[in-house]
Amino acid sequence: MTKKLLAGVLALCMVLLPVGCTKTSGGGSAAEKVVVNYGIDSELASMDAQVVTDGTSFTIIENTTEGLTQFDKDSNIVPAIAESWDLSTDGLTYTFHLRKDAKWSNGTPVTAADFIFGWKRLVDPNTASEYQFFIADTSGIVNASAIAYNGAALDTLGAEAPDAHTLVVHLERPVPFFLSLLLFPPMFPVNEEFYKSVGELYGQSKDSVLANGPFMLSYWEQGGTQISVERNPEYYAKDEVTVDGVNFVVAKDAQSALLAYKNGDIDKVSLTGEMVEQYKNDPEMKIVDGSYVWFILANQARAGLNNTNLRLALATAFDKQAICDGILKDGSMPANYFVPTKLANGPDGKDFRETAPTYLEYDPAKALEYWNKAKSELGVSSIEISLIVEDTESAIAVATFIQDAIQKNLPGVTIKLETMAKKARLQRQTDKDYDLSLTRWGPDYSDPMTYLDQFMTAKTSIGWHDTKYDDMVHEATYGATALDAAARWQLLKNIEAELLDTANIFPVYQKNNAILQKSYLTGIEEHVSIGNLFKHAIKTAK
Amino acid sequence: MSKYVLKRLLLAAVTLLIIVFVLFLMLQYMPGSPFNDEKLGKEQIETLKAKYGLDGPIYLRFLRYVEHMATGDFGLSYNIQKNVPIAEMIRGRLPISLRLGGQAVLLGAALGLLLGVVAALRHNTFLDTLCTVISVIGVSVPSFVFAFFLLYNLGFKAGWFPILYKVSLPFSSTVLPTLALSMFPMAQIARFARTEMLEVLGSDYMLFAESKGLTSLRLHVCHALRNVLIPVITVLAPLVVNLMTGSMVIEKIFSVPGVGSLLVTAIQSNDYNVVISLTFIYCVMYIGIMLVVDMLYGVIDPRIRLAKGKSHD
Repeated sequence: MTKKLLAGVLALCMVLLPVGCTKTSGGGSAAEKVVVNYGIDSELASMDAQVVTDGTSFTIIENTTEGLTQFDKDSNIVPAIAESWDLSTDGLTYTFHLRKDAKWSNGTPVTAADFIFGWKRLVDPNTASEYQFFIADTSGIVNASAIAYNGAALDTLGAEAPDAHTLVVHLERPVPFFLSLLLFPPMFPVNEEFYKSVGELYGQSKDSVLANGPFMLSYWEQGGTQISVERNPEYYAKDEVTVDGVNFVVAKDAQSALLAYKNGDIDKVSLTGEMVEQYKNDPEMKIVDGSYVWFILANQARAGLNNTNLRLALATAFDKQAICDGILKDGSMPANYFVPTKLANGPDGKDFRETAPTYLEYDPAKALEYWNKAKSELGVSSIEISLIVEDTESAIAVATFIQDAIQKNLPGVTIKLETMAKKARLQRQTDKDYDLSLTRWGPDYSDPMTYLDQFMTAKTSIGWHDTKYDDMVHEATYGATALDAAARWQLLKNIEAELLDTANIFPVYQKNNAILQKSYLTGIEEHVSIGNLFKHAIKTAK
Repeated sequence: MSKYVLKRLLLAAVTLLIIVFVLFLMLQYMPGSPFNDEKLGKEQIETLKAKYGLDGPIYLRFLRYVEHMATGDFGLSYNIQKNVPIAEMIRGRLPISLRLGGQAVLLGAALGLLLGVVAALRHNTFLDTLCTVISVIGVSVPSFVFAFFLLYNLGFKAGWFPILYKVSLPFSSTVLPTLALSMFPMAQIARFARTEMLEVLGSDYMLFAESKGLTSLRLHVCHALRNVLIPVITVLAPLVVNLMTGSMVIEKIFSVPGVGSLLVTAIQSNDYNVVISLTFIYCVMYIGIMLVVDMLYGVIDPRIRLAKGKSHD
């Protein structure tokens, strides 16, 4: 009996093993084609540029589609579909001259009408785009706000195409960073005829979207864990594209992704938590510049936080450098500022951060002084403040460090930590139901204003009503200063000073990211405000 | 018999409706929205909610939803696959998860039965102890530990199977996840099978059958095993549920594009429709399996069939 059972088991094994016994080579690429295998951590949500909000979708769209302008490898704004442009002296009218050789992947030319159609989709309330604010609030295009919020007709949008290759855009006010808005997906063109031919399915499969950029989608299964792009033969600069395609491989588990990287299945993997420490001396470890700034929001309606000295004490009582070196260890930088580095260059050609001051540096002695003053002003000898934080490993570690530091350096202050899911934390912020909250902010476009305008009285959740701040932001956007690039740049620095001088928020760190990338893979263009661009990538092995 | 089936089906339908309603309620009270809470202001989120029909009183929304579900319209995804019909999303992913789960159950059940029967037949020998040890390990060690162990040794070091799910190797990619998922069912079934087999072997009808001179094979397969199967099938139903939840972790580790990982992502991003649809499907599967198990009893155990038959006369 047992002999027969044993025979049965052996037979089963003999069936299973050989089918699986294929020594897997990485990539799955054809012999001559050079394809980059890039590890990502979430699936492609949609290829509809006006509607997406996640990083993966943005990255893939940015590699298959071009707008009027683009970044060069040093993050300068250069022509893309628009080969040149003129700006009127009052700064209110742009005239873009489009390339005549730009084509969509189905062979039809890219025209000015395509941009107008895409922008109309973005501003149309029926599209329900989460990026509608981009055109309705930020871009300053005539009537965009009226169409979005006051029911004005779509046709009144301040853009027209006198001919197929000329696009005239009218602005309600000068927008110094307007050109930088055009390289973000919400402002990308859409071919109206193609859009109408696919209807509701637009952007949901590789056959229901067009490409006008260096690559086009070649493989995308609904909910699939691999998305592939290949060379777009209709791209006007197709001879400058140095790689044949990219496979975006979804690997959500950090350990599996790392094994896949070591096996050669993927050429890049993100490092998180403990892994950063493990691989810090690995020659393939790279620090990638990020622009998210983590900071603490202080609700001035609660816990005595409307007292300036208390806020100053709290903001300067923890060592940001120690957080970056001891906890994060991923190349993140201490933030004695709010507008991050490498976000935008001023009229002097220099990065904002290079010429702007720093604030709220760690100084335990000074912090104690502030706390003593606050104690007498508030008439207390101790105080309890809660700090809400999301339940990720790094956020909790940072919050715990800050709690320890404050309690040690400011005797009498008790910090109570409350951890919760990120969505819950965001809800508490919106409801203004918190004392302190550890949160972050990332850029929507390449100008310091994307960080600064959120604290206006109407928008903010920190219960801070500073008419001076509101006036300064208004002046920099709508006032006479907006017309003078140098004066505006200085005003932006003053706005940051107004925010941080009295510690209305407590900056903590600017997040950078650690990755492992194979040494045979180079040339990927990295920019802090958009995804990675692969058109000039070079892969020398395999 | 058919009256019984109808009654069970009706009960199942009512249960499902209640489950969906409770789920619907729970999701309404989850903080945040399906939209980008980090960047959007309160008014903007309210506008989006109105656009997607997320405003209005709960009971109206629920009725609207049930109406759609009855026609197979599970609604649209808000943020995982923007504006894609959920039915389509699930259609692509469900077969992979079912396949994984099915393979794990079959493998687990087959190996478990084998282990249990062998242990019982070689009661109190080294083989028995070995089988018991394997069972204990299988029950105690979480499936993701097995997953990483297999991933590292068979996937990375030996290179026999792909580490991440590869569409070009559909069978090969499911071997490791199946093995990892099958450990727990195998261990549970082995223990049950062993106990039952021992009991059956000691019963008087087995003694009678043996005294009739039946061959070992006929004795054990036709007579003993059939009796062992009844309690084993009882255990199988909750095990299948265990697989559904276990598959979420396994699918994430191996990057399998199945419904388990979709459910986790949907919960994390508040994609309400996806969460409700998937939970509904899970409930349907669970209730369906219980129903099937009930039917199977009638087939395997004539005593139940006869008892039911008698009661209808």
